[in-house]
Amino acid sequence: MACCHKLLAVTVLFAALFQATEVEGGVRFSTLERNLVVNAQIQSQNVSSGVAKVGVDSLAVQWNLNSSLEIEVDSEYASVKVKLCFAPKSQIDRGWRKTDDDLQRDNTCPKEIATKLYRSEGNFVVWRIPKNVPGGEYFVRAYVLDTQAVELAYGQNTDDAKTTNLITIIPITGRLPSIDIAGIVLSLFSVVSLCSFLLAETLLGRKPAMS
Amino acid sequence: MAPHNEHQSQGITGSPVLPVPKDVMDELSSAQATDLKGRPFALPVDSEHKAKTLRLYSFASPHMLTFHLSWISFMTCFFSTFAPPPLMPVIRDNLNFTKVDISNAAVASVSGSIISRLLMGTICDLAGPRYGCAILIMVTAPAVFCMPLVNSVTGFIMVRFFISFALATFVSCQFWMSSMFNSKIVGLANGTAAGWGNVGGGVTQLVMPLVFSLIRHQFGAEEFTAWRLAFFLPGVMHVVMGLLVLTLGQDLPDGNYAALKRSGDKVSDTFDKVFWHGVTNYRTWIFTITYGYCLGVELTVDNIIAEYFYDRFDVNLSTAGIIASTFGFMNIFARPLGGIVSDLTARRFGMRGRLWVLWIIQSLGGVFCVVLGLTHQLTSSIVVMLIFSIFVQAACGATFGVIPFISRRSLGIISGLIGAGGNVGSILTQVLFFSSSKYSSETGIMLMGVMTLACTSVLFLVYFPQWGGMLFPPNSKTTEEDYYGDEWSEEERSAGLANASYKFAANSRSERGARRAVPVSA
Repeated sequence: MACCHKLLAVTVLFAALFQATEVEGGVRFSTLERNLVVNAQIQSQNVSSGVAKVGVDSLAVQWNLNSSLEIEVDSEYASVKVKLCFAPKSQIDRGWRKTDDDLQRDNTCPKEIATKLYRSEGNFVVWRIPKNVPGGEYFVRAYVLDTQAVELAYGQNTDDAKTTNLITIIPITGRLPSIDIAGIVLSLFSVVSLCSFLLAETLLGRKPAMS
Repeated sequence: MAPHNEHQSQGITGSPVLPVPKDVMDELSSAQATDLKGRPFALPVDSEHKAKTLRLYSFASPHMLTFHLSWISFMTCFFSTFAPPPLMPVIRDNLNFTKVDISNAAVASVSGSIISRLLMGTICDLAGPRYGCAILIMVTAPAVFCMPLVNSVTGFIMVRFFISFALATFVSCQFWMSSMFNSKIVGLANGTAAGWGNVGGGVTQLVMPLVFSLIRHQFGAEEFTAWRLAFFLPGVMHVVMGLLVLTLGQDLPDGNYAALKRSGDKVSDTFDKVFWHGVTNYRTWIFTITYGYCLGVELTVDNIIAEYFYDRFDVNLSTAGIIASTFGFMNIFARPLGGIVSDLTARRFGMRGRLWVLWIIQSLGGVFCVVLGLTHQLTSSIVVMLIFSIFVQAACGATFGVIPFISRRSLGIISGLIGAGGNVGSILTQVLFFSSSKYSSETGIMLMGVMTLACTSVLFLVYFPQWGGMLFPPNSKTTEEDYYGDEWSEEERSAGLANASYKFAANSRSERGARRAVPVSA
């Protein structure tokens, strides 16, 4: 009887483990309505460049409810999450950035710009682009969430094919002069100490044998 | 004991050859068991002064100190070669990689060592494993220090290529173990040293993300700077180990090659003869193929597994690193286990047992590789991966239970060729199954398992006349002395150059197995 209990316990444990690791599907993007109107511009020292540098430039994003919609469509809207998303050009041959209709598995939008309470108009945020954003082409998308943080609708600053109004971001290299110098110095140390050792052993060996 | 420079000594082991009967010489040797400077050995030794036991907790010079220097320096090289994969999610964003770029870099990371493993075999035969190991590890340190400076895809691929030269320390490690440890435990010694060295591939998956995290959070560095700084750790490890090997290491139980050569205790062999006898032995090529499907598969998995778990199962960088590291950590016991199983089987069944055990273990590795590719769930994937890793790594250990017996004269170059074959296998599997978007990673893993099963079957072709093969019994007319003596010409044999090989032949009679036990004196 004791062994039956143990077996049952183990079976239940395994079942629970398998259950726990089953991921429930999220909301499907294709079911969302495009009810927000989103605009994004680069705010830069160098206005005419047309590109944004991480750490230096900012993105100014505005969003509001599409005024041509019925009045009651936003009754469940609670908050808005604004995200920076990869344009198709930056997703080619990069499976880790793939777009998936299931929003829980979708990797299109890696960076969150802002999360704000929902208002139908007058929304504005300026976001300094952080230094860990990779280089590439992006667009801005805003998801509308209800009180349970489930996506209800969205808006984006580009067309459905994600080809217009794209934002080009220039990344940092991550290299520093101090890193360069340290690397060179340590490399030289390695080679020079090796050569000195070999030389010393050859020269010492030529003396009369000690024992 | 008379001064050593009065003795005529030959062969790689450098032990003196006296004009007295063999059994008297054996008794003298083991009774005195001192090195050339008259100090007694800490471990029991045989007539070649090779240790007869492996004491892992000891650091006694020369056998155990060499063991520890050898596996730690090999582990360092594995650590630096496979340091980029766990940080790949950060590096691929910094340098803007596509899938093809990552795959090309992964292929480059196992290509450099093909050339260096071949060269290292020859260097060990001619100049000694101590110089081979130390020079290589210190010359590849600048390559590791170049990784923080990389700015482009090409630069990254070049740096991974040059760092991979360091994996040739495997050859010096195995050569060193075969020179220091008796043939009855050579499988265990080789398997443990190489297994613990291969653990570097696991340690790096765990440590590099931790170091990266530390640098980011404690020092507040940007992600794209933090991964670069993390690479100073493997670089410094290279330099430290190189210096330790130079100062503390020793080529042979009786001393270093250069000193032994100067005092006449070691005769140099020539490259072309050593090379010829290595490449014309068909068994070298069979094991080159099969090693490609145990070590090769292991190297490929080291390159892809962290990204596989990160992308497929949506775990974060540190978690993917921890899961991936368990694959490498199985080497702590899996590879030595392969060596032990090989040695234990040889006691009863001799060389035929070693071959059968190798075929069974490696084929099971292929089977579990197929299963891994077909597993869709995270926890079961981890479990299957662990079982798969045990078999694949034990197969590597079992392979090196056989290799010391293929040749005595050309041990270095054969170890080098077979080690290089491991890398070629890795390149093949990476190019065939993981470089394009045609196969998903899980399909690639499954196909890799199928190819492993197919290529392992060439083991049936191996035949030792004095011991037999998997399907055929031995030829009772051929002895071990005939097999190893045939590597030397008539003139070389009569000049006494083959005496070390004959000594090895006598010690290798254990490969006949229990059923055909023969008195030791010929």
